[in-house]
Amino acid sequence: MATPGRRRQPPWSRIAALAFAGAALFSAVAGTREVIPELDEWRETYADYEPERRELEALLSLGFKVDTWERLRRRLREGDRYYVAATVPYEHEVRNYAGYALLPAVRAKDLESANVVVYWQLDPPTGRRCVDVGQDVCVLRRPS
Amino acid sequence: MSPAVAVVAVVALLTLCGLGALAVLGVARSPRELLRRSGLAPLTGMAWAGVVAATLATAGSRLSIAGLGLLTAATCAGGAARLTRTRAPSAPPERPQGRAAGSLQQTAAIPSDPPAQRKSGARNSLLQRLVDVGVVIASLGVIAVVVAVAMAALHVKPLVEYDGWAMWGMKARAIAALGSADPDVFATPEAYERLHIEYPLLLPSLHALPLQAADGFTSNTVILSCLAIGLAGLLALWGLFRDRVRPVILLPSLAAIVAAPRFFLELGTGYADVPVAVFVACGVGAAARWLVDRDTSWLTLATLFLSACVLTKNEGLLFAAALYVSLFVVAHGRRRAVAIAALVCGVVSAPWRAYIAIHDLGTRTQDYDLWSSFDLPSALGRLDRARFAVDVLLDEARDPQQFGLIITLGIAATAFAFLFAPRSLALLATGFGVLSLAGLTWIYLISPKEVESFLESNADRVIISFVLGLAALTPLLVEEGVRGLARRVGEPIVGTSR
Repeated sequence: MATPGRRRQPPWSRIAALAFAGAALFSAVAGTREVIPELDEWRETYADYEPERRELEALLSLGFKVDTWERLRRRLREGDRYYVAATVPYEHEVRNYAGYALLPAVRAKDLESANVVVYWQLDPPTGRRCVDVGQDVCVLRRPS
Repeated sequence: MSPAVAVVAVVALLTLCGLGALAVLGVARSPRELLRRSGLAPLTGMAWAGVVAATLATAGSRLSIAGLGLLTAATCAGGAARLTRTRAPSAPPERPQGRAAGSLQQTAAIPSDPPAQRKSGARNSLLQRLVDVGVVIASLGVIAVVVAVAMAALHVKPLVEYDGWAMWGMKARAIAALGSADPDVFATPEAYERLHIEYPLLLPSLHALPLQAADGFTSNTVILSCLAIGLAGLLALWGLFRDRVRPVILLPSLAAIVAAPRFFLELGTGYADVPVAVFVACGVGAAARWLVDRDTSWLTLATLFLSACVLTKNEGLLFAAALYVSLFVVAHGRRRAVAIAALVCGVVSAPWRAYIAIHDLGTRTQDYDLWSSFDLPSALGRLDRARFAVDVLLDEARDPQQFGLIITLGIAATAFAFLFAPRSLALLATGFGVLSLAGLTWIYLISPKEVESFLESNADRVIISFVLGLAALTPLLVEEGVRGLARRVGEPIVGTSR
């Protein structure tokens, strides 16, 4: 504590608090210069899209065709268990996107347990009616 | 109902639920204290409802909106009963520095100054007060601007990033659309391979709540739900420390977290890394308050947050373990309470562990198998991976373009606390940091994956919990260090009854 006639010492605790506050504020201000342009870019990209168009972003990022997946979606119903038969190099992308986009239909663990089979650029068995949905993809509903 | 309205409505219900939970847990013992600590309510509600929802999902069910309503009513009834039974403490602890006015009190606490010196002191105190107010306003300004820009961006952003829609979006949509956590999705690795169905279901269950309320499925709902968790976390950190840490230290700390690019950019992907980090950070913060305040309710709250983090991602277990071990070491005389808290956390996560074992999810899909830790010769033979993993993880944590100076400030604050604050707090920070980093490194060491590509794919994300955990401790470390320094050099410790 300071006493009369004695030189006051600097308020070290306050200096420490302000030094921390200054460094944290510097970090915050520098961060805004990085984060705000990136967030703004998101806003500028998506704000002009219709909500329906925004939902297609994942699909388009994979290079799929919108019409194919729309028709595919219409062919499947709640309660369906579907199997995606595909041997293309991007088969995991097809299956993963189907798992997300075709809900409430659910992916079956194997061909035997499916009541619907999606043949993705693969020939269906002969003699069965496989409905073409475009992009060389067809949907075969099996009798239950 | 639009996605934004659905998320706001659900968050309002979760906040109400959180207020009840705060009273039940004893964090608030009077209506006034409940109001003062209401910043904790949204995240507490998310953690509490999330744990219930994740447990229901494990049983093949889900938490519906009506179920959330019932849970909220029951929790609030329990909270009200506890509030009426518990007498409020005679006097709430004073805030350490008032509202950025500590310097005025500091100068006024020197009674023997002659008039001239008093006049100069008053001038200094006015200047100091202006500096404090300036720091507070600048911090609030940064927080407001970044949050506003983030809300505008995330309000329109759909799920685009791969894991965002393939994993987190799919799981949330499945719970909302199928009416339950259908085992045909969540327990069938043959069908949903590569989608980490061995991850627990707290987050998809929370996202599914606004998805149930919204019209149709809009992937933006998942992102807005993530944003709500992020904002609730920031509010919770403020609620945790506002009556313990002066605003001139607390608000710049929060501003540094808010403006760290990784925080909102990661939330905008719909990934779970920031939500789990938020639960870790608030768990660490609540545990640290228990250490300095000795009020058991903080440990209870920490356990709730850590239970939520364990049920959000598998790595949550690692961070919870790092904290409990550190806490056990430093909490002399109170280790039994820590052991019980850790046990409760383990019991809460037990249903999920049983679910994984029953459906044999772990061995098929996960990136690593912790049991392989016991194959010591194999693990020791791969020690060369450890150095590489530590370097990459620390580089990510120190990257100013991702996290600003957060980690540097955290390390500096820990060193400062070693010099001037209670040693236990500094040791807690060190223990949590070292153990969580060691744990992350161990995962890369035992993983059968190729280490470079594995690190490249996720090091920048898994490190977020480590960074935010330390960031949550930083303001308390600095506050306690500043008080210790004031005691050491004979300055009056302002505005505190401790």
